[in-house]
Order: sequence, then structure tokens, then C-alpha cells
Amino acid sequence: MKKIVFTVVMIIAAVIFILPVIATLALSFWNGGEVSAEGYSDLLFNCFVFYPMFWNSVIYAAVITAVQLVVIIPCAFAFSQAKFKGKGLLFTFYIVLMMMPLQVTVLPNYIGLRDLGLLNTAWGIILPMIFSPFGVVVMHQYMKSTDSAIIEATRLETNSIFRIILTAVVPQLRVCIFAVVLFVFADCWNMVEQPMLFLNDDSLKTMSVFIVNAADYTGHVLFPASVIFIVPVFLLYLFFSDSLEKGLTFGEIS
Amino acid sequence: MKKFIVCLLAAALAVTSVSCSADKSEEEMTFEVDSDEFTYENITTGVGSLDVDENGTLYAVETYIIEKEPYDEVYDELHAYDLNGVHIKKLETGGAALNTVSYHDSTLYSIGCSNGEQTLSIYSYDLRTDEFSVFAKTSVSSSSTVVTNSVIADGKLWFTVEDFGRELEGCPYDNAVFTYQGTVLYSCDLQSGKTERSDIEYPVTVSTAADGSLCVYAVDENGTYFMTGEEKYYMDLGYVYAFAVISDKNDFIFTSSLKYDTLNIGTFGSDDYAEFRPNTRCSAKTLRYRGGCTFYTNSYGNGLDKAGAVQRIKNSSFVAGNRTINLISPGFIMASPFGCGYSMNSKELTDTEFALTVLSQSPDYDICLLNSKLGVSDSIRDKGTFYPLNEVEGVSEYLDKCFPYVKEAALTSDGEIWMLPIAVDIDVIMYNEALCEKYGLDFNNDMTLEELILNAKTANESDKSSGYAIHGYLLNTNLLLQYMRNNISFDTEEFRDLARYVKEEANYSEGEDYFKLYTDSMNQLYEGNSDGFLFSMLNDSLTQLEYGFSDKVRACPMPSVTSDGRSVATCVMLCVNPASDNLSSVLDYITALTEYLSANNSSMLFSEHDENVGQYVKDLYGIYSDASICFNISEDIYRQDYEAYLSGSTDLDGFITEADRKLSAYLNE
Amino acid sequence: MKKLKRLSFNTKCKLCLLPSLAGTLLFFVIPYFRVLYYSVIDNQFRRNFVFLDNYIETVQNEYFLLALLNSLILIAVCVPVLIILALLISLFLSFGIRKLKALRASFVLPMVIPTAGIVLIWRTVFTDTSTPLPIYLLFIWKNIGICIVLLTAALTAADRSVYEAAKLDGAGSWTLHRKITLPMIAPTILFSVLLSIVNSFRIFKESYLFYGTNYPPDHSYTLQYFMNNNFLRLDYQSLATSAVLTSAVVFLIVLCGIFIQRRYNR
Repeated sequence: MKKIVFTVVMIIAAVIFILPVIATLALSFWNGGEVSAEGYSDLLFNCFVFYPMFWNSVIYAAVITAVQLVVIIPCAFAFSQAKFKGKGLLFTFYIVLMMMPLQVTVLPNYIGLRDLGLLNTAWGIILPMIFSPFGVVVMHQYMKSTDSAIIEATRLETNSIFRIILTAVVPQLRVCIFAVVLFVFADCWNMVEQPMLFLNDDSLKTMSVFIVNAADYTGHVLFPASVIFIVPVFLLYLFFSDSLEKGLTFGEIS
Repeated sequence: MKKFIVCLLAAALAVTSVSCSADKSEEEMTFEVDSDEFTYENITTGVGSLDVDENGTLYAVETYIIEKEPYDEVYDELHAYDLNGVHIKKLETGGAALNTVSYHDSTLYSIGCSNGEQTLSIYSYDLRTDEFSVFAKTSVSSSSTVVTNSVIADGKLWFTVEDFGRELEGCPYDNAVFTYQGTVLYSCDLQSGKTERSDIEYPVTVSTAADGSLCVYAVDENGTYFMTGEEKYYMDLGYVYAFAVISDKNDFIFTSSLKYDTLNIGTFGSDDYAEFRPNTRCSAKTLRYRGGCTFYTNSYGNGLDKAGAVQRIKNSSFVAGNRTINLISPGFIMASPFGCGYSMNSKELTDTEFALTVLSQSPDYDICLLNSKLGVSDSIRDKGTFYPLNEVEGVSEYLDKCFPYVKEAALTSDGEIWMLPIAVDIDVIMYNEALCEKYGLDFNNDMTLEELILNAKTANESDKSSGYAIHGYLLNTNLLLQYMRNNISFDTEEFRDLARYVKEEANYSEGEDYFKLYTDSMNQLYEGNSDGFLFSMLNDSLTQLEYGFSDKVRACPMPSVTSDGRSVATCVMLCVNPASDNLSSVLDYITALTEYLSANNSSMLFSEHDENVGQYVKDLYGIYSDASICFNISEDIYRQDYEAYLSGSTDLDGFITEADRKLSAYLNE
Repeated sequence: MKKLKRLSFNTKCKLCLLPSLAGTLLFFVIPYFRVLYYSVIDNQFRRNFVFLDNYIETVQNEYFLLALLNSLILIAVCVPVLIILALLISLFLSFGIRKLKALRASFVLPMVIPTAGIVLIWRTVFTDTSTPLPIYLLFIWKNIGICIVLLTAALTAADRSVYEAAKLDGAGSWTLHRKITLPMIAPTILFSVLLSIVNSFRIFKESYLFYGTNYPPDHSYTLQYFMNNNFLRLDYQSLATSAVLTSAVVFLIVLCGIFIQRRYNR
């Protein structure tokens, strides 16, 4: 009996939550008072800027996610295994950096990128995001739950850090890595201010910028673009969701 | 130690000698003239063509008209003048009709035709022997063509004619600023006298390059281009009427359909060009460069084809070193400052981009072009993100010339000059005095808002045979700006009364009849039908001055609704970026600009002006002399709620609470 | 080569930190110190040191205090609601009927939907702007996905055996969850709280589009509005000082969190 009540409540909750998404989907087929796929045809056939922007989003997010993994896994490993003074403080600093709101960091980032000559280039977007503290913090949390025994065992076999990480840590944390990939990809996929402010060329901008400026393009492309926008990340989620079921554990915060 | 000093001295000598010799070589090329600008006052009639020789002697084909019945008698004479404008002599040409004159190697060549001839002839005038003779005859028809230019290059006399038949055939390239006029290019060999047609299919005009070779502006299916020797430079400069190459760095002066009546400098291969002389109209036959000076006729203001003064300017006085100035503005600004020899590169940015660019001390931009209407203008003053102009030459004198309120607006509380005002604009009401009296409308300088509304109502009830326009939105904005000038809150009796009155009587969002947008009053004036013009509310009172009907209409200021009776003025201004990487050029530009603006006697910025003007202009002077420049707050604060109040969705208290809340945040953040 | 092998494991681990540290230093730490520098000077161009004057001015600014208050209220109200809601849903999903797990997708989708379209929908649904409720709901709606993913994953990984054993002992559902499940996933919960606090600072864009103005009603005027408006008015000093103050507040919150956790572990 309880189970039925719970189930019903759950379904209602799920429906409420997905309502806006369904509304977006519905509105993408709604054009000037009637059902039509004109929005999609406007977007796919008339908006030539859409395609490069879409691929930019994909490329930036993919590159950022891939390289970030290479950076944060060793870093999180170090946080959990190495012993040195000030480790806690350093990590807290990472957390504080993670919290900085965008309005604050925009100007110094802009000046920094300008001094490095990275303004209006793809690398100006990719490089800062690769080193975003968010990934390190999340990865570190997962890293705590690794089985030290396996790591000790591997240490006896080899001295190379890379081998240790690759053979001992990564297989254990495979699922966690999937989760991190999902979060980081979604984060990059949604970023809007950086492309808008640090890029001038339309050919380098991302789809999130396209949607913000959707009113400037002919036709009703806002909702169709929103729908298409959701698709890649949702696919990624579906791809990983089974693995996510199987297990993610967290260690302590510090 | 001694050795060191000797070396140093030697080096110094070497450097100075090199630079001296460099100077010397320049001097050989430049005419020695005293003034930067010179007018040949002794030439009192129309000049159809001119050329200059290596000594600076000007040869001009002057056209004389004797009014006779049934046809005026027109004849051409060839005269020579020296660098001081003194007439040397008249060169006897036996009454031949001369279209062009070109100088080469002590001989003048001229193209024209004598009475009765069907084809063009080329005449030569030997300056050593004063002998005038027919040099060659061409097969170019003189009836279906007009000779537009001739130059001597590569040992040939090149001339262009506009062939009416060819014009009809058109050309493969056509756009808004370029239409092919059917020009054909011919060359006549100075040795053999043989004339042949050039194989450039669609030429436009010609000049000589620095090395004496031919330079052509022509068009093909890819667009318009300049060709010197083998090099082609595709540049979209519209229809270039005349150009003259002025240096061996591929700079040239030109005038084109891109901006009529302006002399510009451009460079081959670059799309940037700088305007340096406004109000100048010359033709291809009357624009020449020689010896560091540019010679041209200026028939601006005299109507087409009328006589104009022959003038000369020294190029070094306006051709500057680093010529590009980058301007940014946080919104659309129409009035861009005059180039004064610099190439103005304007960019419009969004609010965030503008803040980012300024705060990051970007060296890429030189000047902020601001309008006091945009909320960020006073932030620049308050936050000190400007370069103080106190020490810049010409600025203090310029400001002293301005009206006191303009000067006041340009100073910070510390006495630093933070901006250079380049234009001021005040909303006025332009009215036809006689007609208004006839219809019973009373416009005067002390008109109240009620009287204005009454006038509008009366006009609305008349037979409407005369156009009028009262722009409700503009009126309301003006009233709000007046109110906000000195007040920090909307919650006063004064404002409440005003708002209630406006809602009832001047509610543009309700669309009351007499507050509908333009009926065609201004067009009546443009078409010369001043009887069809009753009155109009203008927010561009100064552009109307160009249309020259200032003796038929009068102006009065907008009604004042606060105790401060001065009109509300908006100001367009320039702020220099202290972090610009081009600072010295920018400051030179500012000096040049102040000079240029100061020369304009009819400017509304200055307290001293022409007395000899029409009543409309006098009225405007009166209005512009006593105003105040308002740095508007962002429209975000009040506009939406005001509209809601006028359309009835919120009541007055609701509007006032909302607007005050936002205003308080804006002022106190 | 021999020398390298002698490096201790500890040192090699520390070397692993290098790429991340270098990048973070360049792109995050240096900007942060730049912000710090800007907060103690009076002007980008004149560069006169005024030390704490800017801080005093900002702390006394009523709008900064209003913004700080609103931001803290947002955190104090929304984060607990978010976590509790996410917990409940995660518990239902993990311990309920297997098939319902698919429903999780519907909670995750809001995370990735672009704001522009959603705000339009939100505006037509929520027309009453006298309370910050629409913004709170939007925040909860958007962020529940990430919390649910984290919590359900943690619940799935929890050791069922303890749970089953306690159930056999006759413990009721509530006690079961309270005494066993929650402690097991406590670190995850804490991390979710942290993450939500971080995300609460990112809600600016949605709020801005919803109200359509730089000056929203007083109850929704958060720190980002204060910062953004000052940025557009070229007053970077207010921005910088409020940023440093905010990061100090956040630092304190995180310290509290760590402290609580340490005490809890004992």
C-alpha cells in the first residue's frame, strides 16, 4: 500500500519536474498559433551560423572534458595519497576559488587572456576551463573512497605513478569518472559568458551564445534550438546512467 | 673617457648629417609656400581644368561667359599664375574651346575642339616659344562625349571621355554607391601623335603615380579597383570622381560618391580613408598634386557647374603620421567627429563589452564617443577613466569659446577637463509664425505645457490643410528629463501633478488623435511649401539648418515644467583613453579637431556667432545659449513603469514606488 | 635515470599536483589576486592605494547589505529544501520499485536545459513578482538533478547488508533511514550542500532574464545584481571588495562544514 502511494507521489513529482521540458518541446513545434516544424526548418536550413556554433560547443566541451581528466585525476590522487603540510588549506582554497561568481572573475580573466594573447581564440575558452577547480574538488571526493589496499599492492609492483593510477585507481573509479565527465561536460556545454565576452568572431562562438541571441535570427528558432541543445548531454547521461547505478561512493570532505 | 666622447660626437654628427640630407631631399620636392592654405584670389571666373609645373606655376583654363541673346557667348582662356597667386600672363590660344590642360616638359597639352568640328583635337602650347598649334586630331566624337580628365604619363597623353552611348550599355558591377558613367580611356602618344583607345574596358578616372606612370581607377566584375603598373588594388570607394596620388607610399587624395563634397586621403590596399576637407567640390580636371601641395577648385555652395575658387593646401599640414583613430561607443551615436586627416574607425559595443574594454585599460581604443543620453557617460567622469585634456593645445581656448554651461559640463569638480564636447542638441518646436497666428496658435518662449497642448488641440480641430507634428513620446521624455535634472525622487507634488496632467492630456500610449506620430509637416517644408507647414516638435533642430528655410519659420523651446527654466540639452562628447597606445597622435587629433570646430561660426556650441542670420537661427541661438546638459540616468529605471502607468496597468502610487525604488538603488549602489 | 627512481612515492605524488596547480595558478589564483589588488586601489588608472577605504565604503552601503542578505536568505531557504527534496526523491528511487529508476532522467534534464527558453515559460506561469518564490523554484528545479545523481549513486553503493540486518531486527522505516542510511551517505549529503551553495551564486542569469531589468524587486536583489550594476557603471572597486568579502564569507561556511564533519566523525 505504502509503495503504491510512494509510486504515485514519485510519478507526480517527476511529471511536475519534466513539465517545463515538455513545454519547451511542445513550443518548438508551435509557430504563430499552429503546429508546424517551421522552427526546425528555419534553424537547420536558414541559420547557417548554427552549424559551426553547434560543433564549437561539442569540440570545446569534449576537449575540455578529456584534458581535464588527465589533469585532475593525478591531482586528486596526490591530494589523497601525498602527505604534506597545508594540504587541507590548499584544498579549501580550491573550494573558495570554485565559488567565485562570474562577474568578479570576468575582468581579471579578460586582462589575463589579453596579456597572454588568447583573446578571440578557442584556446582562450578551453584553457581556463581545463583548470577549473570544480573538477578537482569533485574528483577528490570520489578518490577518498578508493581501496588503499589495491594501491599498496600496485606500489609494490611498480614505481611509476602513471601505472599506479592507471591500473589501480582508474578501474575502481570508473563510475566516478563517468559522473565527473557528465558534470564537467554539462558545465562546459552551458557556459555562456565566456564565449560572449572573450570571443569576437561568430565562427568561434558556441551554441549557448546562439540561444541567448536567438531573437536576432529569422524565424522562431529559440525553442527548436533549445531542444537540440539538450540532446547531446542527455545522450551522454543515458550512456552513463547504467554505470552510475552501479555505484558511486563518497569519502569525507577533507 | 676621451675616446668615448669622440665616438659619441662622431655618432651624433653622423646621425644629424643623415637626417639633414633626408630633409634636403624633401625640400627639393616641396614648393616653398608660406601658408598652409591659399586661395588664388586673382582667378575670378570658373576654371574648367588646371595643372601645375615643377616650379609651382599654375596653368588654368578659365571659362568666360558673356550674356547675349539668343545664346550666351562662352569662351575659354588659358592663364598662368605663380605660387603667390600673381597673374603671370595670358597664353594665346586663339579662342579654341579647351576642355583640359596638362603640363609636360615645358609644353602644355590641351584637349578641345574648335567651332564646327565633329571630333576632338589635341592642342599643344610650347611655353618656350609661346606657340599654340594643333598637335593631333583624334577620331573621338565631340558631340556624344564629354572630356572628363587628362593626365600625362609614360610619355603619353591619357584622357577620359564619358560616352553617352556606352553609359547605356552598363557594366558588370553596380551597387548603391557606384554607377558606371560610360567612361572610355584614350591615349595619345606624344611622339607620334597617334591616338588609340586603351584596352581597359571600364575605366572611371585616371591620375599619375609617383613615378610618373599611369594610375587608373576602373571597375570589373569583381568590383572597383586602382591599377598602378601591374598592381591591382580592389577597394570599394564608390564612384571616385577625382583622385591624385600624393606620395610614393601609395597615398592618394580623392573625392567620391561615398561622401560627397569631401576631400579624403586613402592608401592603396587599405579600406581605411580619412576625411580631411569638408565642403569641397572639385572635378577630375581640377584636382592636382605637385611639390607637396594639392591644388583644386572648390565650387561648393555655388550650385553645380558654377564658378569656384582655386585653392591650394600644403599636404604636410594635414597628412599625419599614424592616421587611424579607434573610437568606441556604448550605443548608437549618429554624429561622428570629423576626421581632420585621420581615419576614424568607430565601433559600437554593448554595455558589458564597453565596461570590459574600459576597465581592462585596453590599449586598442583611443577615444570613447559618448552621448550624455547614455547612462555610462557620467560614470566615466566619476571614475576617472579619462585622460585630462587640460594640457592639450587648443582645448582650453575651445572651451572658453563655448557657452558657459557647456564648459561647466566638461569640467570635473577638481577642474580637470574630462571630455571635449563636439555637438549639443536641444529639442525645440519649429513653427510657421504667420500661419500659427492665422489659426490662433500661440507659440512663445514662455509657453507652458498647457498652452502647448492647447495649441495641439486647436491644430487638430482645424482643417488640417497645414501639416503639424507633435511627437508624444519625445515630449514625455523631455518632460521627464527636465524633472529628473535636479530631483532625486519621483515622490513630489510637482511630479504627481505633472504625471496626472500628462496622463490625461498628453497620453501617447492611449493614442489620442493629436498625439499621433508624424503627419507630413516636415516634407512640406523640404518641398518648399512653407504654407503647408504649421509646426513640428524637433529633436534634431540643427540638421534642419542645412535646409535653408530659416527665414520662414521660427523656433521656441519646449515648455518648462520645473522651476529651473533652462532647456534640456544632450551633448555628444569625446573622452580620451589614458591607456591608448597611440596617445600622442590622439592628442594631435584633438588639437586639430578643436581648430576645425572653432572655425565654424554658425556652431551652436559657441557664445559668439554670426549676427547676419535669419530669425529661426536667431531663435535657436537664444535657446541654445541658456540650457543645461543633463547626464541621463538609465531608462531602465523608469521607462517600463511609466508606460505601465500611462496605459493604466499601474496607478500613480505604484509607478512612483517602483521608480523611486529603482532610482534609489541606482544612486546608492 | 637512477636518480629519478630514488624519488619517494610522496614526492612523485606531489609532482602530480603540478599541472593542476600551474593551471589553477595562472587562470584562477592570479585573477583572484588581481581582484584583491583592485579592491585596495581607488581607480584603474590612477592607482592610488586606499587600503581599506573601499571595504569600509562597501560594508556601509545599504545595497550591498541588502544584496548579501538576499543571497544568504536564498542559501538558507533553498539549499535545505533542495537537499531534503533530493534526499526524499533519492530514497524513493533507490528503495522503491526498480522500474521507477527511469524517472531519474526527468529530474536530471532540467540541469542542461538552456535558460533562455525556460525563463519565457516561467514568466508566463509565475506572474506574481511580489515574492522571490519563482526564483527559488527555478533554482530548486534546476539543481535537483545533480543532487539526485549524487545521492542515488551513494545510496546504491551503500552496503545493503547492514540495512537488511536492521530491518530484520524490526526497525521501522523512519528509524532505519535516520540511523543507518543517512549516516552512511553523510559525506555525500555534505558535498551536495556545498555544491548547491556554489550553484546558488550562479542563479543570476535566470533571475536577470526573469525580471528583465537591472533593478529587480528588493527581495530578489542579490549580490550578483550589485556586482553587475557596479560593473556596468565602471565602479570596479565596489565589485572587487564585495567579491573579496563574499569569498571570505564562503570560506567561513566551508570551514564550518569541515569542522562539523570532523566533529561528526569522532
